[in-house]
Amino acid sequence: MTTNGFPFRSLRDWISFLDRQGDIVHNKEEVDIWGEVAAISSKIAQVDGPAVIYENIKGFPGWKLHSDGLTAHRRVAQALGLTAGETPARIREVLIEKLTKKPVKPRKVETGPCKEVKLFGNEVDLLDIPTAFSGEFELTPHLTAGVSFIQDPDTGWINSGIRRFQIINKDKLLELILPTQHEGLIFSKFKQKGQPMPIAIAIGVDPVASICSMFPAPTGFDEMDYWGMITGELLEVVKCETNEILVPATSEIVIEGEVDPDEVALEGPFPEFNGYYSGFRMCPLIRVKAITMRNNAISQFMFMATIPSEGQNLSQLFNEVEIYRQLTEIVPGVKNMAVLSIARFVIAVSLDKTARKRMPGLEKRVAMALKAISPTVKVLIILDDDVDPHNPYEILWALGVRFQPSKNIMVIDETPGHLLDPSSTLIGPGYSYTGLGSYGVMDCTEKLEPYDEGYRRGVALPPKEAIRKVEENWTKYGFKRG
Amino acid sequence: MSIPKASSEMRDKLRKLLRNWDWLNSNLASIQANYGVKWIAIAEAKVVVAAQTVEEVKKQLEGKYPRPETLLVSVPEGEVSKSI
Repeated sequence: MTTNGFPFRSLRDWISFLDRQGDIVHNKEEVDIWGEVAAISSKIAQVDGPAVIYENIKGFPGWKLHSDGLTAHRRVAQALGLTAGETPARIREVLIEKLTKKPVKPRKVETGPCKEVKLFGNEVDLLDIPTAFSGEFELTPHLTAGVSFIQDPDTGWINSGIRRFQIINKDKLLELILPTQHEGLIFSKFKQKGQPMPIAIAIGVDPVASICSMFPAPTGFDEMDYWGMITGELLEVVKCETNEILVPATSEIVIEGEVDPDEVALEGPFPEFNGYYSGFRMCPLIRVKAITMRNNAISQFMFMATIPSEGQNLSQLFNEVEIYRQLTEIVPGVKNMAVLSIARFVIAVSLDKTARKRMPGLEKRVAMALKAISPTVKVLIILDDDVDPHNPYEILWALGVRFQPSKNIMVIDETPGHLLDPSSTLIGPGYSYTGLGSYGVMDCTEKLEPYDEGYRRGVALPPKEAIRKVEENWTKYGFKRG
Repeated sequence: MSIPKASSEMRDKLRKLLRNWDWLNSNLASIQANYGVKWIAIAEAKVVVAAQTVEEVKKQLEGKYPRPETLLVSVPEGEVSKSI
């Protein structure tokens, strides 16, 4: 069963749908950008609340600001055309089926709603856009919900992702570009050539475009190709005014600019996804060349610091989809998988026990493959297929009874990690970020012969017939169906 | 064509904030030399308060400088790293 109105072709279509569902609040009470909006988003995530449109932002008369459209899983399901009650596991299943299809390129159109207003040169002023602060010690505001687009100068590969941009002037931004990420690979090519890198930041895109940009796509894969795979239709894109980059035609706001190959300035602190502030870094400077908008554009904010939050919820779910898809393609015997923490730091994978018997060393094969697919994974917990990797209680049970620290833990030091992991050695030679960390694999599977004396009789349960009978007769015993 | 703008009061606050940031960015080395590992407050493009803790800084700021456009900075020690 699909959601009425799917696929939503603009943020406004999505908001209209949420209005019909009664799952969005139009807040007319005055709010400020100095932390109030972020605190509301944090609370919405904690209580699984509705999306919001702020219609009375102090200091920004006439503006509207949207947040939390995809904070709740029910809204993610609906954005993908599924019913609100679908579980994250079901969302993953449906997405994996869609993502095995052939990539679908967006369709370029001549113009679109995002061209209704065009501002160039001195008309450009980022301070006119309501941009909310996420944390108390953030020095200047960051754009947090924009999908940024860049293009590989050699291959034409278009990379996109939701990234944060620090506003430091009416027409200047700073961007944290990490060398290990796709954006870093592409930017390094421009740096080598000594050329500025064209960039476009689309704020207020439709929900599927937001979702597509969250997938950890393989190198060389255009994230917006997922849009057609998910919806079965074509995403319409338009060319920017000052560069060749294509952006969703219905975007509310498009900021066009160039990343300077050499000039840097002081970026941070920013309330990071890991729940801590980033430190200061010297980050590349973006010169904004143009801003195009819809009439009465709606700006957007995404809170991503701490758990839960819109950014965290989206990232965790879609990382799981793509990593599971890739892992099951290259390693046999993988039954289930769960991303258990932010930034894929902790992942649990369950393996088919017969496959483990048939292929000695399968656990290590999974460990190596996972690290290759997702370099930021720091802890892998390997489970048997009778343990649900999404269930922390079952994981802890397996850790207690199927794991010996002296024998079943493998640690590899100095592995690539996440450049924003506050527990890693952050600073390396030349005050560059090393991103080096370590990788620990905890094998919490039943031991195989000849060390399986404790497991030969299986998990201690009543007979299957008795369990089935109890299920059938549960209410007859006087219990309520739970 | 409709282009909503920030109010003049908001623009004024944001401009002051960015001016303070610009001063921090331009004077980082000397700020680090004088205030390394301390918390400082920057207002009107200068350091107006320095203390060991942010609570002390906030206390000393009370009633003197408006908070949103005054930067509260934990001054880093040593060279600031490059992102790429």
